Amino acid sequence: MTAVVYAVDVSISMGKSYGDFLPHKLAASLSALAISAKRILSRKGKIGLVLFAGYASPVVPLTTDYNVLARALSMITRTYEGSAPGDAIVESVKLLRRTYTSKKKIIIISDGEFNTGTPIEHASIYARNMGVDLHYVTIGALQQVKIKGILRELTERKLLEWNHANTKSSLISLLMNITKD
Amino acid sequence: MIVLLVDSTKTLERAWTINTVKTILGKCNDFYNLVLFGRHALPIVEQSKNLDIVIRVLEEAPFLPGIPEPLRALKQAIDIDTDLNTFPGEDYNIIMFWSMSKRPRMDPWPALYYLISRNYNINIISYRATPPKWITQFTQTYFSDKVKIYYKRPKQKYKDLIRSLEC
Repeated sequence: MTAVVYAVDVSISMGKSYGDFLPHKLAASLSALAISAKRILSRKGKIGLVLFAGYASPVVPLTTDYNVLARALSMITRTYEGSAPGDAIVESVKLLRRTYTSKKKIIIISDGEFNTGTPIEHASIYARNMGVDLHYVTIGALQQVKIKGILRELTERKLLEWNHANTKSSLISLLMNITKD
Repeated sequence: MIVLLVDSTKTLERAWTINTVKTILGKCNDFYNLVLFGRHALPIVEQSKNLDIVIRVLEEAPFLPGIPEPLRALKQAIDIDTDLNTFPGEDYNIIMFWSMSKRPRMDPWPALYYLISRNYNINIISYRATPPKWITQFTQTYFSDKVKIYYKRPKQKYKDLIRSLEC
């Protein structure tokens, strides 16, 4: 059984559109997330949700109930200043630490900024030490992903796996691929 | 299980808060947790059956700096919930004393939603007479019957509401 925590970036830049990420990157990400979550639940997995901007907070505890996730997704209407993906990783690991599943995964969906909070490197070491696989999915224009260097380096060190999606359909494919087992 | 979250910034109405805690919880036979919060939050009593310990901490606690951030306190409540591995379906209560002296920087709705999903009853007791204008930004329609906020006016209603929290 797999437990997956999605950590979604709700920073101001996610409120802007890009290509087929419409009406904006955040809404398109949430609809892609919903498709992937349904499949996890259909395979008896568990899902959780964390939001982050300049700070991070858990929103959905690990659950097998899609309605709990769907209601939370419908309430995500605002964006906030700052971007603290490291804090989001820490919050996500905390959601997973007391669950006994064969696989634990965190999927971060972000347009790739980092400007505050726990360094991503430290948070990814914490995730690895807690037995959690960390997948970092960036979206939008690749040239605007400001943390490419650190994500590449952490991928090489096998602390996380970084993928980029520049269309909504490629985001859906990526999420499906990450959660296929 | 009861989780008390107490705004311990300089706006803390200490004597009144202690009296109210005694009134509400005096007859309870439950596990108490206490988190003090300001800019940061500090879990200070965990799973104690002794209300006197909670009262003593409230009497002695130094003021915490900064604008009170309820999100920080609610996240500590989530950590307590995770550590205890509680089962949804049982009766868990959060009572938050919050001055609402200033608009918090962090939106507490995600943590409120999380705790509601874990079956917590959430009661927020304000030191204010009436709701501040900014509170509507932090209270989603969905929470209307899940998160109860008590203001000091009208006085009788406030007293009755607080009495309704008694064990």
